[in-house]
Amino acid sequence: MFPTDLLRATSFRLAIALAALFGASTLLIFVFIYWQTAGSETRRIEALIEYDAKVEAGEPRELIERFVTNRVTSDFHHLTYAALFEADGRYVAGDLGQIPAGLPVDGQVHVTRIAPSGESGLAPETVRAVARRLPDGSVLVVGRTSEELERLREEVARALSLGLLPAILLSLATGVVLSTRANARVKAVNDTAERIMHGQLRERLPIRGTGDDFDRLSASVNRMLDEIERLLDELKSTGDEIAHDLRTPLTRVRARLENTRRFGGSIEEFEAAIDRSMAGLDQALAIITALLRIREIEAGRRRSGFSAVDLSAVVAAAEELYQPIAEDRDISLVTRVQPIGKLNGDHDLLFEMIGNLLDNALKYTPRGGTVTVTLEETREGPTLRVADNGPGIPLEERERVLLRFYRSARDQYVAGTGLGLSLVAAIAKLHDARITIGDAGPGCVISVLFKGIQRSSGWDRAVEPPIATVQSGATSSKA
Amino acid sequence: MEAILAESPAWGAVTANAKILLIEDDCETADEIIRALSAHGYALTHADSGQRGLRLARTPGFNLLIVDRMLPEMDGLTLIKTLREENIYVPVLILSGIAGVDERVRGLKAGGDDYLTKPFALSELAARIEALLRRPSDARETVLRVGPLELDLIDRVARRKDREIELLPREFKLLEYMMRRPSRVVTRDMLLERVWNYANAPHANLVDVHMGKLRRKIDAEGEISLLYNVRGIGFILRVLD
Repeated sequence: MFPTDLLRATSFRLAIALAALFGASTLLIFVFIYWQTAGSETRRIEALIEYDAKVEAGEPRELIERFVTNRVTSDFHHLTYAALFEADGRYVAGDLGQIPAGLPVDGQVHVTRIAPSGESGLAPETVRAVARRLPDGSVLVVGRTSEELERLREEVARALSLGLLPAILLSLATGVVLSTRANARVKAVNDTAERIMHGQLRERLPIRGTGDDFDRLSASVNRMLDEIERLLDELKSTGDEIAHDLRTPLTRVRARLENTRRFGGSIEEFEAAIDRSMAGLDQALAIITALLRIREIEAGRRRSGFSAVDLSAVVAAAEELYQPIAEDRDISLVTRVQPIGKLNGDHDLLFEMIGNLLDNALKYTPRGGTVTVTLEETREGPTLRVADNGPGIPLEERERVLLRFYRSARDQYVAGTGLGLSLVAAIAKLHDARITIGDAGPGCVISVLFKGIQRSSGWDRAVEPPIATVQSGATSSKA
Repeated sequence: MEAILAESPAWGAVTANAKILLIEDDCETADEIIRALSAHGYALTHADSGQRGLRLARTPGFNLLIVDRMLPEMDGLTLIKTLREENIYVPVLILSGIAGVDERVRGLKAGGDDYLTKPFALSELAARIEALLRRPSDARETVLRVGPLELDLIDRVARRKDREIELLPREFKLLEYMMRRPSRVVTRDMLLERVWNYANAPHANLVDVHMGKLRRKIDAEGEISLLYNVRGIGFILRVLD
């Protein structure tokens, strides 16, 4: 498992690529150095022997012979060659038996191969040589071996092999170490992910605290896990809430049906039991529907329905819908609306919000009371207020009132799903509005401050026409 | 002065014998629907899958389809779209377990004529079927008449015999809706949807309050009631024989 893992690891592959690149560039540098050094050395040798030959050619014969002899005898390392031949090619002096074959007698440097004289068995070596015809017809040959260049090449190759191999090995080793470490961290993350997938949702990816790439990645994955855990918890608590709140009506229905089945005698009794059971089931269904709606709104999916909304028209429409109920209960429903311009929002949801607030206020206001709806521009933004002069909500209960399912003690004799204000809170949140519950002394005032809401301008949307403009047309004036 | 009637199967007599195709995969639900609608005099055929439903829906003779949205083999919306593409324009009522305004819009866009979310009251289903089968009176009419009631849509005047009735705009709209559907049960949800355009009113009994006000204006002291509550279902505007 280890070698394949290692080969697949990104950091190891990177190390191999780097080693290859490093080796290639080192090789290139060495070749370049050798090429430069050898070139200049060759040019120096060539200039030297060409110069020697040229200078000696001008000397008298005896001096040339001495030059040749001196040169040969003083050269212990057999680096140079020098020889003098008669015009017919006969040997006069020097360490060459004959003019090297293929060496033109033109005073130019040529590369040729010469077998060293005297010591037999030595291989012919590569020599740079000049053959020059002297004024008296004899031929002077001066040469020098390329042995030093050979040595240079060997040394360069040795240096290369000594330096390059360890460097490549070192970079490979670094790659192995790095990728082994990376592998260990990947394995740790994998193991944790595996545990999370098997249900241990509270597990988090390990963070070393060094702030490196892995840490940053793990941190953001951990934040994602936090959010997922929060959503799951919410889902679970929604489930718990549904289960809890449905058990009550369903238990009642079940008990009633069971008792009617066992004791119920007359058709009328059966019918009454069935009617009450159906009402109980309807209430249970209404709770499910309301909860799902709240969840849908909280998920923010309804933003797609946003457009320019005239809030004063929405207030007017809600007033029109609820006025008869207020009249029925001897409550005066008063609206005070200031023009506040259009807001970006969901018309239907805003209507539902105001409707729920009115419904709530009307429910808790005693006969003869007043419910006041105010819409005005405040320093902080457009504000909607619904005030009643009912019993009010105690200070310590105000926050909880907006929470799902909570119903204060005063709620005992008012029917409903208990979700109205939760829905209001969800809709307000969707619109970046802030809800506060205050004292109307006596009574309760719920304010919705559209703080973060965008003002709309230009484009419009068909909203319910303001009631006032239609009213004159519809009410007969021909009496 | 409460005018309450119990539901009577006889009200469905006008469209009785209408042939309805019910495409619903849950057989228990289907059985109850068939039982309830047969009592109204409708003849029902049942299909328990999308494919079988589509095959039956292509045969002529059905006056209305009831289509469940979630069906095996072929979902309800695809079925309706397929029918509409084949130029079959029989009215369709969609039954769906998926609530939500957007879902409703999707259903109607696919070619449905009405959308009812499960669970529903069987009486609600019956009322909506009746509404689909009997299209409202000619929309070009400018004066509606039901018994002694008269509604002038141009002058915006309502009269009962010679007595003029003063109506608020919403009451006028409500009365117009009822007068276009005389002797037919209209449910609260239908009124909220069609007269108020609200799919989610906090209280369905809002409609009762508005209807109560309208009734007090229409049925003056000593006059025979025209507007009735139908217990547990909704309202009906009718002239008792």
